[in-house]
Amino acid sequence: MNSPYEGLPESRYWRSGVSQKHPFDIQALYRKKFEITATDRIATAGSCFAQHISRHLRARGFSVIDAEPAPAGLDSAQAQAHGYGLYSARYGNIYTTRQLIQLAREALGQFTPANAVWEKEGRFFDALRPSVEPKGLRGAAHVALQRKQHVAKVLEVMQTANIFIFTLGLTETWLDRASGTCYPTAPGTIAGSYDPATTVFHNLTFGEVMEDFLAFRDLMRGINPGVRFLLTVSPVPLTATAAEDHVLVATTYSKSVLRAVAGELHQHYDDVDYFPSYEIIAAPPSRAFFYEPNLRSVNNGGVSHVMRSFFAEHGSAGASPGRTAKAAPDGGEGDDVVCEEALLEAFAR
Amino acid sequence: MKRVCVLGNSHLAAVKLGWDQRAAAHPDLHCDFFGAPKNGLAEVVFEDGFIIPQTEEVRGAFAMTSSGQEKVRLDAYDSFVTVGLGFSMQAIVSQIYRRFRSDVHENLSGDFTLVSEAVFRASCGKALERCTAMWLAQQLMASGKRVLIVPQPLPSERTLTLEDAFPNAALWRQAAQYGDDAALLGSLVTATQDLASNGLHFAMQPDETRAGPLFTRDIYSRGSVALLRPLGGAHGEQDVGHMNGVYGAVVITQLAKMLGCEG
Repeated sequence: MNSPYEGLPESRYWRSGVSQKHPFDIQALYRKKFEITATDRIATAGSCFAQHISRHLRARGFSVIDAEPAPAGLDSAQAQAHGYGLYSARYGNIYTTRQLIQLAREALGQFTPANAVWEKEGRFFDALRPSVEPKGLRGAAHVALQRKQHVAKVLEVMQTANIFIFTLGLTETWLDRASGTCYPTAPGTIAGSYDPATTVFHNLTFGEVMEDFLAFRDLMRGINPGVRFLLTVSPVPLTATAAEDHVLVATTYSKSVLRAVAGELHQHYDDVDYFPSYEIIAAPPSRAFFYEPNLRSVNNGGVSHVMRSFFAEHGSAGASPGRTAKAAPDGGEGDDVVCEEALLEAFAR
Repeated sequence: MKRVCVLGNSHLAAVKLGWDQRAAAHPDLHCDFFGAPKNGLAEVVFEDGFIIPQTEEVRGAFAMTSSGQEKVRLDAYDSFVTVGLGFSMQAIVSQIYRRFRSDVHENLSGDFTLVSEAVFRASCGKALERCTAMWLAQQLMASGKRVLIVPQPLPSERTLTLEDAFPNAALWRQAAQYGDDAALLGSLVTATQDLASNGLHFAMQPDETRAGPLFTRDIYSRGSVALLRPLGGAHGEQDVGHMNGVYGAVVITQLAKMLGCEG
């Protein structure tokens, strides 16, 4: 009697593909859907885990767009602290698809955020990327001007990227009740103050995440028809949840929704690839040893392992002949990422 | 007797003329001058206790400015002074302010990127850190010598009225008109203080020579002369960047004080 499972490669069976393998030896977790070459202009965005991808791509000689570079010579720690060089524009972490579509609409002049400036101790912050100016700016008008310059650069990124890499991070978000404007952090975390009358917590559903991303895809393809998308899901658990669940349950919901959306997009659209960084780090075979002791932050070994898997498929395409790729930063504290979500730790008892 | 080697680019001319005026007042000070125009001093190597030019042009300029010496013997001097060589407000204005403004600046006209004041000031520090004066100073410090840096003088206040005095002159005028001049001077001072923490000494432009935060009083630039051609060839009326021997004499007095040779 024939079975459809007969004769499949060993990677299709849990025992031979996973349990009998050392995690470092698990093969064929990722098969690229399309090439990424040295000449492709790559845009990166997403939750803080995406910063690792961005940095390693640059180190491998891939052409990652930097539409808002830091002033020449600024040291990397200071540049990163101000949101430079983390992604293709200085948007900070884009944790949710709601933030992503909102930013794209703003760049195209279809959306104006409400309550877009937060204040703290006389300094003013961009509510949609509050971490990029750690000490804020002198006035609300300065924030508005800086945002105008930023949004113009975001449009430039959308128009010129061949490849858009996005790391889906969270489903939990904070919205302005009246306008629906989505903020990356709750008011009061970095600046501003939380007022339940004006700001509401929202946990995005599968349908909403899907709808947001498809709307973004449509917008970007509308101005840049050849663009292709590569999705990843951040393996970093929630620092805290505002949902009524235990943070572990909330994390599982969030990651499950994001992973399912990425899976469905990958199945249905030729221009959407999925890279399984989530599985590599978070799945049982890794036994959590790619996490720091807090079981949340991904350690450098984990990041390196993820990127090895990525470059096993894309590495040769990205390296320019005769060009010496700059070595990736070493594994010290300099390999840290900027993650304002982690600020929520400060609110933990 | 303190023996001082003064190295610089075209701005060395004023200091040399100032020394000619003031030498008699400082019998305990001896100065030798080694100059090369523009960025020529980047084309030297430190080798076997000497600063050795790598091009014929710089070798010739050294010989002309030092009365015949083609290289600098490091152990012949107690202290070294660099003059100009890119350590300047000009570097801040042309490299940073031209492209970036911070939220303390009032001039928000033109094509620029708005950054925080922390980023602006750090960028100014980096722009200065990359200049030839700093490179030379670091090499000299590694030789265990005391090093004083004399920044390039601020341009003459004539910049405010002279059309097309130099590239970006309009930006300097804007900076003054919008009141950004004090903030720019603050950026220079802060960056200098940060760099001074590494053991360097800076002879900042004396207040008496300044016309506000951004310019030099015109009396100090009238009749400035060139480093070569030979020394003494007059700069034209359009030259607002170079200073005269009177300015140089003020700098010499300042240096003598810093070196403990007040005569």
